Amino acid sequence: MNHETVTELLPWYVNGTLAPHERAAVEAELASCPLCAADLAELQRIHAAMHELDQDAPGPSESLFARTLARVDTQPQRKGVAFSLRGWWEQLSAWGRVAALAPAAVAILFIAVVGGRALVAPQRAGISTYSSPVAGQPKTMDELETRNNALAPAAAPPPAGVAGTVARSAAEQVPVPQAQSVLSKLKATNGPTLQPLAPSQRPQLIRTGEIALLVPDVERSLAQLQQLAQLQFGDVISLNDQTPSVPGVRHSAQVQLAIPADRFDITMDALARLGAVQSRAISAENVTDQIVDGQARLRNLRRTEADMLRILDRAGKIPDVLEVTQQIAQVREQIEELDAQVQSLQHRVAYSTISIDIEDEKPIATAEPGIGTQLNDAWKAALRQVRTFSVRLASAALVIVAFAPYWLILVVIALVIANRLRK
Amino acid sequence: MQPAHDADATREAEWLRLTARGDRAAFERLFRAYEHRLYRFSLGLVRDQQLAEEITGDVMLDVWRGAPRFRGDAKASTWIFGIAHHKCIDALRRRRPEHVELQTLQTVRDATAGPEELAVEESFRRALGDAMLELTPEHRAVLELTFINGCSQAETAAIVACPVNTVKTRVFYAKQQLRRILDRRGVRREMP
Repeated sequence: MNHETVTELLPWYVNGTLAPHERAAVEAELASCPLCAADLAELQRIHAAMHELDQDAPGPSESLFARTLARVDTQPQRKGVAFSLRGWWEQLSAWGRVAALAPAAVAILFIAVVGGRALVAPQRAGISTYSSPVAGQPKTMDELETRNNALAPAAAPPPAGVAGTVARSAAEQVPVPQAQSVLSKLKATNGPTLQPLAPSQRPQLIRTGEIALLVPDVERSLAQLQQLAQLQFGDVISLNDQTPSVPGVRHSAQVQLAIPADRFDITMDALARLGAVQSRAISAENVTDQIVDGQARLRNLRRTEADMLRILDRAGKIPDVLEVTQQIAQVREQIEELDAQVQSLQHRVAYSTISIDIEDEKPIATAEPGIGTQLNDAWKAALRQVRTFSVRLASAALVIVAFAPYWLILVVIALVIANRLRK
Repeated sequence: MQPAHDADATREAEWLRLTARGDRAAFERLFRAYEHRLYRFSLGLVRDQQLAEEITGDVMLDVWRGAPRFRGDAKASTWIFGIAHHKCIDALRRRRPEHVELQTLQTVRDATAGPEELAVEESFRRALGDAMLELTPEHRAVLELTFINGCSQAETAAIVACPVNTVKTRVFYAKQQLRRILDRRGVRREMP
C-alpha cells in the first residue's frame, strides 16, 4: 500500500472501522512515515474535538418523543416487500435482461392492440345497458304482481340500527339474478348466527325513497302506479301531472306514495320495473331515541296528572283548587302535544314515503322539420363524427409512438432473424 | 457506527424486527436510542434546531412505517441514518433564507462557549466548529458520519448513497478544506 492510499484510510483508522489487513498496512506505513504520523495526530485531534462538540450540542426537545409517538398512532405500517425488483434486475446478465424484456414487450404490444379495440367497445355496450330496463317492462299489472311476489324474498330489510342513505344510478344496478346469488351466499354465511330482532327491539326508522323513471307512456304508468299503491295497501298522497302543449317537450309527472314500511322494499323494486331507472335513493332516519324518550316523558306526565287529581280531591280551599286545576291543565296540554308528536313519528315509521318522478322517453310529436334544418343537422352530425374519428386516430398514433421502444426492439429482432434465415 | 459494538447492532436489529411487527415498546426503545444521534447529525447538516428536530421526528416516523420493508442487508443504523441523510439533503435543497443559518451559527457558538474558553483545546474546538459551518453539506455529512458516528467507509457510502471511492475523496477534500480554513484563521492544527 502506498503513502496516498494509507493517507486516504487514516480517518477510518482513527474511528477504528478498518478491516484487519488495512489496519496492518496503515500501521506499517505509520511506523516508517513521519508525514503519515503527523497526519494521524491531526486527525485524532479533530476526532476528539468533534466528539466534544457533539457532546456539547443541544439535544432535541423532550416533547419530540411524545409528538412523534402521537403521529405514529395515526400512521399504518407499510407491508413488507419480500421481492426486490431492482435487486433481481441487477443480478441478471445482459442476455438475461433481454430474455426478461422480450415477453414483456410482446405482452405490452398485445395489450396495446387489444386495448385499442376495447376503447371503442364500451360506448356501444353502454347504450344497451341503459335501455335494458325498458325492454323488460311488464305489460300488465298481473305480470307486475307476479314479479313482486318473486322479488319478495330477495327484498331484505335494511341492517338493524343503521340510518343512512343509499343512492344508485341506472348504470350501477346489479342484475337481479346476480344480486340474488349474492344474497343467497350472504344468507348461507350468516344464517346460523344472525337472528331477526323482535319488532319491539327493531330500530324505528322513517324510510323515504326517491326514484326517477323514463317510461314509454306516462298516462299508462300513472295508472300502474295507482294500482301498485292499492296492491301494496298504500295510498297516492300527491300527484302532479304536467302534460305539455308545446311540441318537443316531454310529458312528465310527480307522484308521492305512502306505503306500509314492511312493503317498502318490494314497492321500490316493483317501481324500478315500470321504466328505465334514472336515479334511485333510499334514506332512513332513526327516530328510536325520540320515540322512546317521548313515551317515557308521556308516562311521567300521566303519573303527574294522576297525582294532581288526587291532590285536587283533597284540596278544600278554593284558591288551592284553582291552582291545582291550572297546573293540571298545563300538564294535559303537554301530554297532548307530546302524544301527537309520538304518534306522528310512529305513523311516519309505519308508513314510508316514496317520491316518483316519471318522464316520457320521447318528447311529444313535433312538426316535420324543413329541408334546411335537416341538412344543417346532417352537417353538424358529420362534423361531430369527423372530430371523434380524428381524436381516436391521434390517440392510436400516440399509443404507437409511446410504445416505440418496445416494438422497435421486436422489429430489430425480427429483421436480424430474417437476415440470418436468408443466409 | 458509533459505538460500533456488535452487541448494539444486534440489539437494534432486533428492535427493528419487532417494530416491523408493530411492537410499540420496541419502537420506543429504538427511538430513545436514536433521537439524540439523529438530531445532532441533522443539526450538523441543516444547522437549524427546529428543522433538525422536525427531520428527526420524520425519520423515526419513516422507520415505524417502513420497518416491515427493512430487509436486513445493512445494519439498522445504516438504514436509519440513510433516511436521515436523504431528508437533510432534501431539506437543504429547499433552502431557507441565509439568516436562519447565521442565527443557528450563533446558537452553536454559544453552546460551545464555556468558562475554559481560553484553553487551547477549547479554542481549537470552537475554531473547528466554526470551520465546519463553512463546509458544504456533502463534506459535513461524511466528516460527521466518520468522526462522530464512527461509520466505516462502506456504511458511510450506503448512507450518503454514493460509491466508497467518492466517500474517500469527499473526506479527503473536506479535510483539506478544514485545514485551509483553520490556517486562514491562524489556528494551530498541531497538538500543543
